[in-house]
Amino acid sequence: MTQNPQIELSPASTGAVMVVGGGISGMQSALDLANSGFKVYLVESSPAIGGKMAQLDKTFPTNDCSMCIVSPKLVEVGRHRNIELLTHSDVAALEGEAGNFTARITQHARYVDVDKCTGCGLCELVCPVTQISWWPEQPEEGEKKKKLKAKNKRLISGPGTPQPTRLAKWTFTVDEEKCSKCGGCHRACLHGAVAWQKKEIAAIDQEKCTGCGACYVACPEKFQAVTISEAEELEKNLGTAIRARSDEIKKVQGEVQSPSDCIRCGLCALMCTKVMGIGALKMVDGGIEAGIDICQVCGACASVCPVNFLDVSELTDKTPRPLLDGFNEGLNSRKPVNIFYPQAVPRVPVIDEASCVRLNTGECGTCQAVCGVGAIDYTHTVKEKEIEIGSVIFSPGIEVFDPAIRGEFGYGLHKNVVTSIEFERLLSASGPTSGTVSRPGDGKHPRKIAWIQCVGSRDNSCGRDYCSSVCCMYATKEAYIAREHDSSIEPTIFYIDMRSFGKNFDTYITRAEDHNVRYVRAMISRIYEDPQTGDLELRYIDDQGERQSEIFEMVVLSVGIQVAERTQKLAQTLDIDMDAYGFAITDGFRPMAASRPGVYVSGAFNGPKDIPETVSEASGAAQAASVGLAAARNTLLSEEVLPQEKVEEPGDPLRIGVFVCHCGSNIASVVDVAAVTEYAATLPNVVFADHPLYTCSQDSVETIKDLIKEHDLNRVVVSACSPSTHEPLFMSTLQQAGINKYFFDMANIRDQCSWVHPLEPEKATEKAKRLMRMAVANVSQAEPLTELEFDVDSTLLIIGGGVAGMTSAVEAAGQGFGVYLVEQEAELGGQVNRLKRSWDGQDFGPFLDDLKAQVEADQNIRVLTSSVVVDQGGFVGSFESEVMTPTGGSRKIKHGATLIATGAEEYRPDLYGLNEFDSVLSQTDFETLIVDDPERAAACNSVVMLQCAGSRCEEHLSYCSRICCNQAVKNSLRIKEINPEARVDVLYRDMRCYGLTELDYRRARQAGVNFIRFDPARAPVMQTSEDTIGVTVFDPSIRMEVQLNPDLLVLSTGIVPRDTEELATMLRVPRNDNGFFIEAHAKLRPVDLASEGIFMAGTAHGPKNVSETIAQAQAAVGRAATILANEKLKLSGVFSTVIPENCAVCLTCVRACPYGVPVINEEHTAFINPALCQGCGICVAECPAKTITLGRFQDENINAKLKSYGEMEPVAETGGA
Amino acid sequence: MKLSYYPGCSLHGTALDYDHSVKEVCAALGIELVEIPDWNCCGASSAHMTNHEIGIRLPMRNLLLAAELGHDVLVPCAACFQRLKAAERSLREEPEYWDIQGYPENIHIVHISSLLSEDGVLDKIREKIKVRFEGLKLACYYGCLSLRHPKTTEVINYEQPRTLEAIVTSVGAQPVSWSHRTECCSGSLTMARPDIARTLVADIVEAAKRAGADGMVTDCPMCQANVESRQLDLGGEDYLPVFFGTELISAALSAQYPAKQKKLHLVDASVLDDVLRSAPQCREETV
Repeated sequence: MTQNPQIELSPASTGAVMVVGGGISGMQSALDLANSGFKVYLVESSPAIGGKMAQLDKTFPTNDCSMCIVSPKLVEVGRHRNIELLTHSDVAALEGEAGNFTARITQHARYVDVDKCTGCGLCELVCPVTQISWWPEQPEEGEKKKKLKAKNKRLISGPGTPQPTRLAKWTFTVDEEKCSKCGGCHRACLHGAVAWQKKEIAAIDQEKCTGCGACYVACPEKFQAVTISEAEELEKNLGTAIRARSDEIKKVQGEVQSPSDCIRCGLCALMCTKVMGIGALKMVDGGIEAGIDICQVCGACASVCPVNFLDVSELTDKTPRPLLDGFNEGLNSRKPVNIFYPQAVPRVPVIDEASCVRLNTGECGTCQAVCGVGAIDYTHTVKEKEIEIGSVIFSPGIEVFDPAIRGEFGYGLHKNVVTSIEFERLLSASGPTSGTVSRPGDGKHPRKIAWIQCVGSRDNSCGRDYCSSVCCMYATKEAYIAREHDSSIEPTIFYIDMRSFGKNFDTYITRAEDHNVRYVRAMISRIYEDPQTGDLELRYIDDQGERQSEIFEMVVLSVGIQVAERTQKLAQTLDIDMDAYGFAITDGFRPMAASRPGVYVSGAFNGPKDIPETVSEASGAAQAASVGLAAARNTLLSEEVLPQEKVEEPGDPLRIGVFVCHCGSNIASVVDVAAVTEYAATLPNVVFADHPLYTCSQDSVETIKDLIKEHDLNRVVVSACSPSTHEPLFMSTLQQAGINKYFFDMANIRDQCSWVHPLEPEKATEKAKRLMRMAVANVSQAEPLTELEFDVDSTLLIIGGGVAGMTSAVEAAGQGFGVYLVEQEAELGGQVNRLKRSWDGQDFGPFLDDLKAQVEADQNIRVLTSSVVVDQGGFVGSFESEVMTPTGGSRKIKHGATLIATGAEEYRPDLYGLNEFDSVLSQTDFETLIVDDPERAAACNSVVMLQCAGSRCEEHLSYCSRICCNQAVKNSLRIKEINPEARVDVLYRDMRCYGLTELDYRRARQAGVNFIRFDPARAPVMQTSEDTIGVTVFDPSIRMEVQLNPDLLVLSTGIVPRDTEELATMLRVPRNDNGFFIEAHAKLRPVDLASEGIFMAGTAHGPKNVSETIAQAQAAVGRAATILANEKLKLSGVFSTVIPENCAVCLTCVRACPYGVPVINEEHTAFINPALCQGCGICVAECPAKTITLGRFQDENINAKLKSYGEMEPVAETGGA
Repeated sequence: MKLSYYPGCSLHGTALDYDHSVKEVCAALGIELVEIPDWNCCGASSAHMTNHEIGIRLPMRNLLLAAELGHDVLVPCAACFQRLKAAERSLREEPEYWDIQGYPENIHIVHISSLLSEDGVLDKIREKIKVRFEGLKLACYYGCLSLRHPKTTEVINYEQPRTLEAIVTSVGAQPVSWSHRTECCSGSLTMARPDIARTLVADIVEAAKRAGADGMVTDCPMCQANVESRQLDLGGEDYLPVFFGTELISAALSAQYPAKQKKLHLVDASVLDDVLRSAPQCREETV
């Protein structure tokens, strides 16, 4: 069955796709589509892409840092010329039909210009507002603003008497021309510094003045006779100046943690009256007088107080509403102007309409004043935009369950009960505690932490009947990582079934157990908080049926996932069907197609799932969404036209340009950028040096291009931020200016100087000089590197003709690619030929027949049955393989990519009389029996099914086969249908009915199927003979032995991969200990193999059901399309090269390369194919003869940098540091 | 506001003072109570354990009498509330079985704490009280019957109710944070298994003390009697009195805690007296 029967290939279709949702799913779909010739609109409702994955700390089962692996994707999406990012936007309507949709997009007002903003974050830093305010009544149009008068006043006095400061004092003077001689300033001054007589002009005695500004605040608005001078940053606006003075005071006297005496700096009253326009604060003798009835509770006064004297809650009778950081799950606060998270793409803030003072009362405006590039614009409004697209991918993601619904856990009442996603943020290095595990209640480091599983999963009482699929694993990961952060932590996980059903998951659980993660199979009935210690008592019934009570210092609720209500509304807007829980309804044989033709779904909205499966679905959805648009490929792309690259002549002098970035004040507030620039100009061959405010802003980049021409520069150094985010931008600037992009280097003087040494500006400046100097030395040695281009053969070789292989063939052919489908057996169909019904109850027969017919009918597909691939040469885009045909002859095939779909089969161990007695069957045998001999099946009065028969054990298969639990549930429901009186007992270790299949598990229990859990240490005893079966099993729920004498014993034996040892060796791709192929990256490249251009799908990767296999087949084709859709491929200029003369053929490089690229060629020397090399440099470092080089990282480069480092004067020691 | 009033046997017997305070508070807040004429046993004590039919028919009769009056029904006793709600559920779900048609849709059974913690009522309490019990720390104790089973009581927040806390706050006292608010007080076992009753009450009282409570507040007459009386069995000197919510409001409204009322407690309840003596008078009074 093709995945897109409803779409005719039509030249009139639109070659663009809208992807809704910018999480990992949407990003992967967008990248695959954009890299295979389609224009992408990526619509995301939050201010930045990244989704849930960006919030996670680490990922299972590899413990990779989530942010580290997702941020390259963020950057790639953000920079892709064929992906248009529409963040802070929603889909308002979708009209038209598959091939030609029109979508209306609502772009919410951001109040920050995405094109101008450089993401420096200064606005967020200076914004004084920390709370959601109660706005004062606004005047009618035309009316003047009324001055607020406080009726209810309260004196805020500190622990002692105020201690006036003269730190960073401003100068206040009275403008004689404007003074109305009212004496307000005289009365306001608490230090007797304002001289005034009736009918005389006031004068300020600078000797007595402490610079508190009380006079300035008191001077009536209509006169404004008191003026400020010598205030840093005042030229921007008063709010900025107040912040600057506050910072200066803090810097000089050090940060004050606990509330201390008022220092009479006056900044709070200035802020309240002159910036916020409220006037609720006034300095009086005993402290500060607060007008509690007019206070708008914005928090600005407290946020600029340099000594933490003010506490917002004391200034008002209202309960302050702090602005909480949603990305950090409300564990810390944010400002109304807020960058979603530090690595956000786009790294552009949004101003929150609900809390911004400017947008509500017209006051403040500090962020606009401080923005150096003029990006803040308070006049933004909602915009509507129409886009034309051919198809839609809906990947909106999920939210977590609100655990307050499960009141017995006291979430929201007990402070030390947190959700698992909150715990992720507590673990995250960029989270609110910088990765310190501490209790929200009191900041204490907890020792004993409990995780409670299935909170909002597998729970009929709160309408979440399904299993969330990810919690067992993430809880294990969190427990494991928590112990990595602090080895004194003792984690305990309370669970029902351990659902570690994915690839290598059980191994991960074992590893966690070895790392002292304790697992207790029990449901927690209630949490009791000790009101004095904040510790938590958990009560449960243990395995022996005894009541237990245990004290923990912190509890993490493993909250399930659910479809947000707004997502469900959006799905209605798109007119696609959902189930009772809001998950998309799809057909098991077309797993990504939503009910509306031309709309595809992916990720957890399509049923709960983890990241690798989501990524796999995302690539699959990209394939499904684009196959119908194949005729419109490349029609809507924008191509970059680059000028001819200047070729350097030998003897051309070096002309280096250096740009030292201020990054607003991100760098310049610490590093003396002017001094670094001056120093740069003195370095050899540097002919130009400048220090732009924002080097990466659009106008700066244009200026750099002009300057390159004007000064005839041939090398460029930028001293700014991180090369991982900004190097590609500057390199392409060089290309646009006509110089080789590798004539560039970057020094990171933000992360490595200003951010880490804020208190030592001199040393930071010296370090910045040194880093810049090393970059100059490096770039002096730079070689022009060329990026090779070569032709791509658009044919796909598929090895294996089962469901995965055939689906891939049909999909690839639909994209217009040629396909060779090689199957070793005489017939197509693979393992599914032996199965009857899919997990969701559909018959396999018609599906398989249809699929075979499509394969055979398609002219683009050449099927080679009874054939084997015996050799493969070449590289990505241009492979050549040899196939042995049934006649014994061999055939050469040219192709651009390879797809392994070799599949798996049922495991058949000689256990309990399987393969021996008629009454002992495997699940597949049993399934066949039910269909082929329904009478015998119906005559069965008693069936015992044994799960994990030969799985999850040392002697047989060490892994979980993932599908057997569902197979047992499916078959037991079938037998109950045929014979409701039949007794079915399923003996299991953990029922792993993940995702929505949990519903079938529940149905089976309701139908009367007995599920009896057993411990492997006390495994059921089977006595089987020709005539009788005896089963003895201990049932822990009744704590008694049970004797069963069933008619049939059905073994769930699991599945084993086919023998692919020769194939793997020939393709040089790795397999794991169990014989499954190893993906290039367990999380983000689930269908890629480490060798470029080779992909896999189906059970060759690991056990999975048919829907998952089809999804993966589509994904693999989607990934292959990113190669095959290109006429030419360009290689990176950075690759390793072996200088053959010195090669001793020691094989060190061959062994060291993680990608298996180096080979020994006919000339008897190591050879590294540039097309395959990833440029990691490991072989370069390992080669004992030092005969491998890597462009950009030559010895000359490294030596020049080291020499430059050594030649510089050591950084002078200053102060006591 | 006019409500039908169902006192039940407790409020005519062991918890007579509860009945008085409910009436006083309602009168002061402008809530008119009409006692259901000829009301009978709610069936909580023995009927519902003996025979389901009788267990439902008994409270059902009361509902039908109330239906004639046409107002919502106010029930202070938690057990009565639970039984009346059970009868209501039966009436709504299977009217054919009970052979009663036309029971009005719009009559609600209201438990006392739900009524008193409505926003408008709380505002009125704050407005009318003469003293605020500043500094009095109280452990709000709900027990089980006014909350469970949620399918019967239709209480949403049955695990973490807040109604008593709202009432306590409205009279200026401070509810303590503790986790035993809905634990079983063992009222139904107090005669049959005094050993269990002692253990459970000991746990509850200990938890309330650990939370720093000076006393407890409840809205269930069984809890009140059981927790106070079983404390006596436990010995020691440091008893926690258990007040009714309406008892507190009544004292705050009148700025008095009559000695007669205090004597009705089985343990020393003078903490309310003490706090009353030092409590700040409400501003309106001083003006």
